[in-house]
Amino acid sequence: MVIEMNQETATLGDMPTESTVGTIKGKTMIECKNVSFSYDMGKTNTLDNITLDIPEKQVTALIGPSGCGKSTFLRCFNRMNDLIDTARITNGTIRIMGQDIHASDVDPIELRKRVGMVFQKYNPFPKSIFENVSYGPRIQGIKDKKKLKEIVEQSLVGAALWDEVKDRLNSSAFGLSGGQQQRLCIARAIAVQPEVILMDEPCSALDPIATAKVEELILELRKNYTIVIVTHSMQQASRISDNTAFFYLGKLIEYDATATLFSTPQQKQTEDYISGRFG
Amino acid sequence: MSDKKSSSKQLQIGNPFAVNEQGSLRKREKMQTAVLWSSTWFVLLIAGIIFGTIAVRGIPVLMKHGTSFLTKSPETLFVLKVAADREMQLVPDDFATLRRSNPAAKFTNISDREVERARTSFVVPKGNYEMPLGKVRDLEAVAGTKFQYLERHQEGIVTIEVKETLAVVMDQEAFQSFTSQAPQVRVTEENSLVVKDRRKSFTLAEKYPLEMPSSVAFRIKELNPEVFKNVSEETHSYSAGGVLGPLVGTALLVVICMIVALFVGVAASVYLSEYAKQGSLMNAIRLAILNLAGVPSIVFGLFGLMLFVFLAPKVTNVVAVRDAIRVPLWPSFSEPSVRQQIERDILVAKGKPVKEAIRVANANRSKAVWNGRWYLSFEGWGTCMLAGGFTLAVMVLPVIITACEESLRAVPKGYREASLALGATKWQAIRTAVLPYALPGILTASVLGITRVAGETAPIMFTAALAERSLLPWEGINRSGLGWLFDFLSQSVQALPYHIYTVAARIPQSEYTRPMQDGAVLVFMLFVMSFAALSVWLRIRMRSKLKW
Ligand SMILES: Nc1ncnc2c1ncn2[C@@H]1O[C@H](COP(=O)(O)OP(=O)(O)OP(=O)(O)O)[C@@H](O)[C@H]1O
Ligand SMILES: [Mg+2]
Repeated sequence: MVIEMNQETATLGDMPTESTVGTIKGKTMIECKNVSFSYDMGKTNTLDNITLDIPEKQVTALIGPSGCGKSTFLRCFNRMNDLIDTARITNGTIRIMGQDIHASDVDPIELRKRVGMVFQKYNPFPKSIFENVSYGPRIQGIKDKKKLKEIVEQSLVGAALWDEVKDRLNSSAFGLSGGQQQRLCIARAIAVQPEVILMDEPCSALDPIATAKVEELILELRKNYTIVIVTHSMQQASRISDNTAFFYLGKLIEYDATATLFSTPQQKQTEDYISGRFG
Repeated sequence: MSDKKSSSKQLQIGNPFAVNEQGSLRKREKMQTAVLWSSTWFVLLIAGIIFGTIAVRGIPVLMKHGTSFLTKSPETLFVLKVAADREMQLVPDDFATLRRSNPAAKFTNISDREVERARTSFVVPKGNYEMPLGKVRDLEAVAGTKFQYLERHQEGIVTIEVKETLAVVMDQEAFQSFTSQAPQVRVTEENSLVVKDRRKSFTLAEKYPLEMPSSVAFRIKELNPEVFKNVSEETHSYSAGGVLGPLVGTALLVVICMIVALFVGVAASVYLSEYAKQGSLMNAIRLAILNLAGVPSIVFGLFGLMLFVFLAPKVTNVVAVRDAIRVPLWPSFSEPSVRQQIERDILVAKGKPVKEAIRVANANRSKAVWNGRWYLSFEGWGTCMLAGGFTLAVMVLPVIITACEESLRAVPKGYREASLALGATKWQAIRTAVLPYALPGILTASVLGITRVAGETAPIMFTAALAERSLLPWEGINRSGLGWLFDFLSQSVQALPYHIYTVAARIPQSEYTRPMQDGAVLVFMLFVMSFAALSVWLRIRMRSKLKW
């Protein structure tokens, strides 16, 4: 089960001067170089000089105490932070599939089609299951009913939800259980055929059984998608992720293959955090 | 031992949950409830008094006047003091009206009878005819159409175009005067026939002041000239109903106001809350919009007069002298018949003989000719329902914008983010994932605001309202298509609040005018209620479409 920690008041001692980055196998999908990010036009940096590479078709977990900037970092990848007027990347570059996503000729709309997102609180629209999944394709201009049906079925099968909802596609998404709603949101995200799926604590509002189902799904999706997941559960990170990055106070402390990071952490803070000796 | 102790203690305390008489909290709670309760009942009481009074005073008026209350424009009430035992006759419908309007009068010897009337049927072949205007009206009345005037001559003579062969029936006397005064019309297939009119004949058991609307009064006098020779009569203007025109006018004003206010209000609030950079400037703008709600309605009326009646831009080829700026647009072409007259007049002015001028002008008749220019002229729309609707719309805008922003803010952030994360553009996200969920709230607030301004008199007093108008707005418009819409929107209308104001304060008061206020107020309340009911129904439907 999730280890309960008093994260808000936690301190982990002095910051290390250098972050430890282990060797990550696999082709790079997302490449971050010296990324700093600020919510207030550069007055204070919420993220500080982060450099890491996220490999293709693997699950990369971001862990760290609350408020350390995991969600912020995740939302940089699909430029959701653009919605906040005063928020900006103050330094460094993020490249996805080799393309700098802040280049002037990058359309954030196109970027978001390729980099999907699943939110912490499951948020289906108050519409039918079918309309929810077909929402993405529809706003991209697909009108053909048959094609939409096909996409919906594929996506629901992909999100391991098809068997449970195939008889009630036209009923409200709000009638589903929490876990089903979260998987519906995953189906909605994969309906636009992204390369990368960002997940911000997708299981935090779910019970253990629903969590297990979503985890199973993530392992399945891993074959086709690059997945970046924020989680507060060490167990979850060790169960499903290939690589893990540990953040603390806006800094990357340690990044390595999950097995290595959990068995032989290089930094003292990482060790304290994952073993729950915290504060 | 310990058992004993505890039991004795229990005895001492008794019921541990008994009401604590010392504590004043319970009493204070009763006080608080009483305040809440009495406030609610205060509101209900006031509402009850208002609605009760309107109903108690209005319903008898509607019962007494029946459908004659709903004639197109305010009618004059005639009070005729008719002596007893004088036989009169009347068309059955009018008799029914008379009986309903005078429930206390004693009608006796009521019997049905039939009166023969000689009529003539005839056919008017198509062609152009010259005749006096009065006879054109007669022909229009029996044919049920409107004719186009090709030319207007002196002394009320006009030339009309009969486009299709007409078969009509006229009373014999009317037909005789028609043929004698319009000899040009080649009447064919003349046939005499006799129709039987149904009449009710009746007498009064005792002398009684009969109340009736002017239309019935004219007919009863016409049918019974001897009886009404020396009858004393009183007339009370605006006292025989006539609220259909005002009702229709108010409905149209509300519709225009709603379209304009909802469109502008929703668009502006979407911009304010979703697009604009939030900051002190935005807050200043919000404050300005809110302050607009505090402007007195008469000031809105005067601004409406200045902006929409005298200054608003209009595309026209007949520019008013008062226009502020005019921007020339494309050239205008006159219609052939108009052009024909113009050309003839020009030729005559140049010294050509009249006959020759007409011949030349007719020869060129079919060709349209450039005779001026269309302008974008800032001359205002004049006093019309468009100006009134816009004025009312400006008045509800603060309510709508504020409510709309509130509703938009109440939509969970998750929907917006989910939509954007799926690759929606900002507008797509707003249109598909924000507005639909805010719409029920927007509608409720807007309808509340709009019913509020629907009852305002001051804003429409100078911009749209007429005290009396014989035609309903869609009657008597000659053009078709876009021109029809244009003419339709540029007419003044009667409006219920203004009608109530007129009846209550601008005409000589008598015992007969007060019931008119009561009836009109009830009709207005019913209108507003049905409008509100419609909006509730719409909201429920919209909610049910969203699958919460
Ligand atoms: N919209 C925002 N405007 C300003 N500051 C923000 C905003 N969102 C987050 N922050 C700040 O940025 C810092 C990082 O927040 P972030 O949400 O990324 O943390 P997190 O690691 O995801 O925490 P949690 O595990 O609780 O979700 C926090 O100090 C937070 O207060
Ligand atoms: Mg977070």
